[in-house]
Amino acid sequence: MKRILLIEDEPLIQKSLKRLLEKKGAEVVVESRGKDAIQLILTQNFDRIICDLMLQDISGFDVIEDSKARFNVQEISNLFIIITAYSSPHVIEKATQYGCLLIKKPFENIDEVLNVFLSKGSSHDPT
Amino acid sequence: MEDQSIARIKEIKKQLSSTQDELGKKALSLKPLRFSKSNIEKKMLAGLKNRPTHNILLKKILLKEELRRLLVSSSEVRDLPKEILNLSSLSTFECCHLLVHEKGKPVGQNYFFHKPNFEETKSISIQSFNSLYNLVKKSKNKNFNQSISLKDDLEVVGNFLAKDIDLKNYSVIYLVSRNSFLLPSQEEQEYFQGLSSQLQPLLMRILDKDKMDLQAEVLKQSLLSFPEKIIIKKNSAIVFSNQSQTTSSESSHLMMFPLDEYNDTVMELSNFNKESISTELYHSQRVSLLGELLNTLQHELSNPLFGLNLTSSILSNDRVDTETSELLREISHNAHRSQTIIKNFSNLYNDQQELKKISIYQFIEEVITLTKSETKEIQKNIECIGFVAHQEIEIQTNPTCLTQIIFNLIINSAQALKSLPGRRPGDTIKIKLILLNKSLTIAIEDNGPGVKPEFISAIFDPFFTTKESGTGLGLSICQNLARQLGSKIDFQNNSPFPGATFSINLPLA
Repeated sequence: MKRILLIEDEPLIQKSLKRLLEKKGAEVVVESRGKDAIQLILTQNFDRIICDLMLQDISGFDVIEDSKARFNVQEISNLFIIITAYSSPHVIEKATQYGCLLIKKPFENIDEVLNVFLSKGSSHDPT
Repeated sequence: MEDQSIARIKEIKKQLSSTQDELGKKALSLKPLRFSKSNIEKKMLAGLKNRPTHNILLKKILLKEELRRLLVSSSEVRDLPKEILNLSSLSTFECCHLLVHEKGKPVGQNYFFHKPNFEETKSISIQSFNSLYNLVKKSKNKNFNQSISLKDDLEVVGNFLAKDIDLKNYSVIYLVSRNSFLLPSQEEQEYFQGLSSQLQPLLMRILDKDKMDLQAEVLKQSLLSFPEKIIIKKNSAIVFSNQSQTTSSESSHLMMFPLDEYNDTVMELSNFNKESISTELYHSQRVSLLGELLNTLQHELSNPLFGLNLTSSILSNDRVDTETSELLREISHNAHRSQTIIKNFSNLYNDQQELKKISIYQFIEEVITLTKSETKEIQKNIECIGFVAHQEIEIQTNPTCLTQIIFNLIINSAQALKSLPGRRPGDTIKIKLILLNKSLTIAIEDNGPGVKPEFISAIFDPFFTTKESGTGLGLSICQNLARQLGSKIDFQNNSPFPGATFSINLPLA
């Protein structure tokens, strides 16, 4: 079973996505604050981390930056998926630098996005 | 939000103060370099001026004097090759090249002089320059011959002497040659080598001067073409103005600020024309404020709206009774609709300068949505003439400007209708889209009171208004915007019918 960390501070989106992903058979841990999320990332194992950019305390990019303490660049690009309502060219460029997939909110096709969330990933498991 | 013109002024101010600094340095570096000349030397020189000499000591003094003159007199880099050949110790050479490369530039300059008076300036590719520079730099005796295949770039025949000089911003090579295969004498070689230490300060002075002159010229031009009136005063005396007439009763003082720390030099900024500037300023402020506001709104609302949308669509799929399910679907639908509306609005106010293809019918529908609260209880019809409503008719325009124009005209019509006492069920604003001869006319027609004949000539003037709370800027701004779109707004009363029509004509995409 996939273990997913969802970092999103909009309660309705957080709850809905959790529910939708759980329906698809994933185990979902949710977190609204970036700093708490970093703690989780550094201490627990996830197959996928879905991260919003505009968090209340820090930005999603800060979360990714701090995750470098545990993961290398390749692992980060596989593990993280960025979701954001602010998709300016600057943001897209920065996401590209991390090699992460970036998905714009609102999602055009929810089912498709859920499948992307559940696709491969898993970087801390070398098999 | 920063006002645009103030940002522009700040920019100019910054440029000015930095250049002032540079100008100061320039003045400093332009002071002639002083070479001490003892009294004995002076006397000797006076006696020797036109007499050839073989005395080594005297010769040295003469050389020193020559160099001194070279240093003081030359001010143009292209004169240098000629002056180098004028030096008596190098008088047996016929050609002189001076190759200058400003570091970081894709090409260098090749200044060439051939006796008696052939002078040429060419550019030299950076590859050729670098290969020659490296060659010269590595060479010990600085003595070369034409076999090093430079013929493409340099007209050099026979043996030549070359030396490199490395300056902070430039690389320089100078070389002298004559059409001969005789090796240059030891004395010539030594002298040639020694010349570089004299040329170095000279080149530094001349080359940087060129650059500073250019900078000062660019700055001067930009100040001259600045749309508002600028005066720079030093100790209360005018040292610069971008306008020939220094006094104008119409101009109004905007602001002044010091350019140096002692407040000796100040820059004053004034308006040429109060009306036009404040109208434009007012408008651009309003549009950029609105654009920014809509942008923020779009981003801030998009997240919770998406949440609403997502949640309600999940819940409506759960096992709930039909009525709840219906309500949830309604929530989802409305969240989606709100999202679309805010997205469309911020698209309308996107980039002020951008030209876009817009589909006219859909565009007008969106603008009408914008006016909804002001036009409540008034019928609004779109009438297409020359095409059918949902036929794709596209025009290439600046959507932000056009939105402003149409929006203002519709609001004006609504206010005109409301100015009549009592609500009449027949109150109508008709937006006619007329396709004719590859152009499209948008006419906003109402059946309100129309414009009194005595006011017609003034309605587009700034600050003209008949409304109690009006600024009198609406139509003036619209006319300005229409001009930006390469068009104009026409007006006519609908007589003998009631009401007025404003129209604008635009070319099709």
